[in-house]
Amino acid sequence: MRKQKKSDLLQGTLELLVLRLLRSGQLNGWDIMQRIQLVSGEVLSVTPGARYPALHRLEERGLISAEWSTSENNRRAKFYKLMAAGRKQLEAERESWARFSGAVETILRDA
Amino acid sequence: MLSRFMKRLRALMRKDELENELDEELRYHLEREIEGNMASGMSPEEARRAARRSFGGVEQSKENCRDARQVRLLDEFWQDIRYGVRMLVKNPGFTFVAVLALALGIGANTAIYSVIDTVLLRPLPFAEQERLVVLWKRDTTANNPLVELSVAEFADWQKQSTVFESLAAMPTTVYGYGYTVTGRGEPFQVESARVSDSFFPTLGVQANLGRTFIEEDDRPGAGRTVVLNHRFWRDRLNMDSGIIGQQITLRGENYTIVGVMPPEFDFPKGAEMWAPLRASMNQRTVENRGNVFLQAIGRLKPGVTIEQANAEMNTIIAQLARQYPEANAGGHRVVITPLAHHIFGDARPALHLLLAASVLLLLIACINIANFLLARATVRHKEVTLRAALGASRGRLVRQFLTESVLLAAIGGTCGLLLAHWMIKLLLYFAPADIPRIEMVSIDVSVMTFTCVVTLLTAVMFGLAPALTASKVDLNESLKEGSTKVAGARHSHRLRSWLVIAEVAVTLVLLISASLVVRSFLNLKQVPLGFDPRNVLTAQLSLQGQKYRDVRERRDFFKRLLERLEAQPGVIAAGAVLIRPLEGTIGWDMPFATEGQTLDETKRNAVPNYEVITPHYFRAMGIQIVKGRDFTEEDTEQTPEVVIISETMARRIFKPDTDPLGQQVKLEPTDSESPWRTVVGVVSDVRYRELSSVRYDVYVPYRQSTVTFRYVTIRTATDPLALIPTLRREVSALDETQAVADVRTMEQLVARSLARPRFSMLLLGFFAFFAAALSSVGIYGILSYSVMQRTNEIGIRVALGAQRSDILKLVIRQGMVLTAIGIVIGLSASLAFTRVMSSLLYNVSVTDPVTFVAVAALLTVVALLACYIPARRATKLDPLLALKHE
Repeated sequence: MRKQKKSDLLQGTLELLVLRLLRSGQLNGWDIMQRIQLVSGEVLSVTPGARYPALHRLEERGLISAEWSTSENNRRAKFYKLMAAGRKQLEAERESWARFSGAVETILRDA
Repeated sequence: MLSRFMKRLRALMRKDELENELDEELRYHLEREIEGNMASGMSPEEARRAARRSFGGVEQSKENCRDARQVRLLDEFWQDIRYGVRMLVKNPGFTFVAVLALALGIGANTAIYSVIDTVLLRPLPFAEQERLVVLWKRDTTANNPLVELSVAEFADWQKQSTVFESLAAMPTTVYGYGYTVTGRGEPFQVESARVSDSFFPTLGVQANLGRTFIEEDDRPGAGRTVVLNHRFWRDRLNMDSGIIGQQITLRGENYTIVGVMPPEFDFPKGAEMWAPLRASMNQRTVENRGNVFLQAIGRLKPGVTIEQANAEMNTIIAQLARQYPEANAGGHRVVITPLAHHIFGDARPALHLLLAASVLLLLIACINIANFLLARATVRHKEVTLRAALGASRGRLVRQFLTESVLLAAIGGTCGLLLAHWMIKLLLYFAPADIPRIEMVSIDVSVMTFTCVVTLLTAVMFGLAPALTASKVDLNESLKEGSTKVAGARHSHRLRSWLVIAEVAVTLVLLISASLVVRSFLNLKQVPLGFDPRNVLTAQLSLQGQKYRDVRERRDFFKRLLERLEAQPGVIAAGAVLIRPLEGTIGWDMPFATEGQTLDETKRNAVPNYEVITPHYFRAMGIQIVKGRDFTEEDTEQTPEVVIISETMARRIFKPDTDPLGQQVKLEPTDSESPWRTVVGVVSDVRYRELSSVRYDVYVPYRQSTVTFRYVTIRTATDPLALIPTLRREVSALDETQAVADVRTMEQLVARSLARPRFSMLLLGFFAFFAAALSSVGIYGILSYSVMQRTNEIGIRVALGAQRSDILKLVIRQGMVLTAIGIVIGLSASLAFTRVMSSLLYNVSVTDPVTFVAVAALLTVVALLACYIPARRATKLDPLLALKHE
């Protein structure tokens, strides 16, 4: 019912990153934002407020699931975890990303 | 897909909860951020501001999250509903008419369906009822549709047949097997059925309390036993569970109660008690092949078809005919009917007709609403164009229109369900009591499901075409034309014309069916009964007890009772008869012979109805003596045998120009000892068994027959019901152990016979009237709208010199062409539809030309009136204003 916006590079990348981060275990929203910030530095400087909808979208698509539990500082927080479908999606996206970035790199190097 | 839908549904249901979760999630993020900021040395105030800043717009983020959850679809649905409600509230007139039409249509369907569901569809309280059949014989020579079995023949069937798992015997009618119960308060009568011991096992039912019969109970000379029905046990025996094994006094003899049946067991209908068939017989009666009163109930072995059973039973019958030629006259064939069909058979066609009629009514209601919606859709074209221009997709528009239809149907359906509740009460009030299980009709889950399905179907039926038409928007065209002229208007108009045609056609079908039923009812009501039903009281009085086994005692009792009754003030005449008229389709068949007929020839005679009567019976019933004389107390065993026959019989059985008086007739010609009787009188034809046909009647004086009559009939000067206490008093003055039962006036019996046709007539009449009203509203609607659309054109015509009469003709012609096409289609549809009604009609052909023409003419007149109002409005148009009208 919903068309995926392949062209939206940034959004697609963000989702790819979220899926990758969740592969190693469940994380809450704040953790995810922190890590993205940490990993990407200032390159992907999108405000956290714009990233939450991405999480909800992934949940809606059944790629990740969410549940409420206690965070490390003993507070209730919403934890996300990767679903089987998400794992598959991650592999597919990763591959296409590799191909895409490979192609771009080739052009940048050779042209 | 489903899980996604569930998620969305959950999203809508738990809107608040999700909203809270979203708040909490974002708050958590912000607080962690603030903590982090404070840890790096910011003041709380600074930390909060920095966190907010880095997060971005909180509300915007929330909105995006909500969007990600796709609650939009349901939100839109909710929007559509609110919008739909606004539209309905804005057009209260339309809404009222539409809801009323739907409520009546859906209500009528629900009510009729609930009757059909209870009466026809619900399984009988028997195990594996599809294997149960009823068997009797038919005489192909004398054309007698029902020949009963003797006990001996039943025993032969039971022994020789192989297709049945078990075979049981029961009387063809409950009537006449009543027992008077004494020793438990006032004596009262109960209807009983004498059945073979295999009866209950064959049906696959067990007693609630105690047991049913075993083989030992059903033998000549066996101890007397009875099984009671639940109501008897509940009402008369106070639900005493220790009743099993106790004695009950019936006809002055003691019977042991062995069982009580469950409450739902009512077979044969009306039986309150069952007794073993053979226990009260002696060996001679059991072997008497002339005493026929039974039918058989069979449970087919699994996999055996009715055809196979038929073949085997006919072989057995042929064999028995060779073995006992005098009892089994040639030409007998077996008749096997599925039990369910046997029980509901005659209620079925009328109920199906009513269901069909109510469906047609609903169809008309749908067509009408579709028509209105189409008209409105054209008016709403501007709105639709605007919404399409603002980006609404066609699917979105169709969805919105359909939501409105479903909303309308849901309101109509709810009102319909409420209405059905009342309609069922009304139905039960008018319904004839002899429809099986009719008293159990109510709105249950299956009826509710039916209503919901019907409601949704109607919504799609009346909503889809308008929705598709209305949503067809060509933006370019519409915006260019801009005005009320509308792309697709022509298409919509054509569709609406077809709808009106369909409406007229369906209405005609309903009107014709209703008229046929009304005519049939009137015919039936005017049938010459052969007696005068006013001021006649009748009651059943079957003398019981050892004393009345002597025929002289019985005669004496009745003679004294009738004399005492005639001595009462207000009594004009009192008589007694074997079976009173219109007691149901039951009676005593009596074959006869005229002088010179061979035995074979007599078998081709129609079989008359046999009555044994007292001298004043004709006077009490108001039966006219056409020729000759009435019986007197001097017609006794010692005087020559006499008989009185009915008019039609006298005309048909003797050669023309012969005076029937003095002719000889022999009753029961197969019996070598039966005497020749002299015809001493001819009386009017009496409808004894059914209103719809005339039979031959033969009457024999009570002193020349050993048959006991069962009914007293009293003609009174005033209200016959006022005589009931007197009757009871006089009976108990003679013998206080006798019970008076089934007290009725003849007028009540006539009304009871008319109950079914009256029921069909009232309902069909109501449906047809309502259909006619709806379709005239429909015709009126489309013409008014068409006049409004053609205002401009009409203005030009008037300006160019057209006369008012020309305009009138123009508009009326348009309406009448539609009507005419509808009537032609309706007439041919009626021919097909009414064919199924033939079994319900009396003295009216299903293609009765008078009815067809008259109803078509009537509908034309109604349509003409519906055309006239808008046509007149068209003639009143001011040409100047009309030309300006855009």
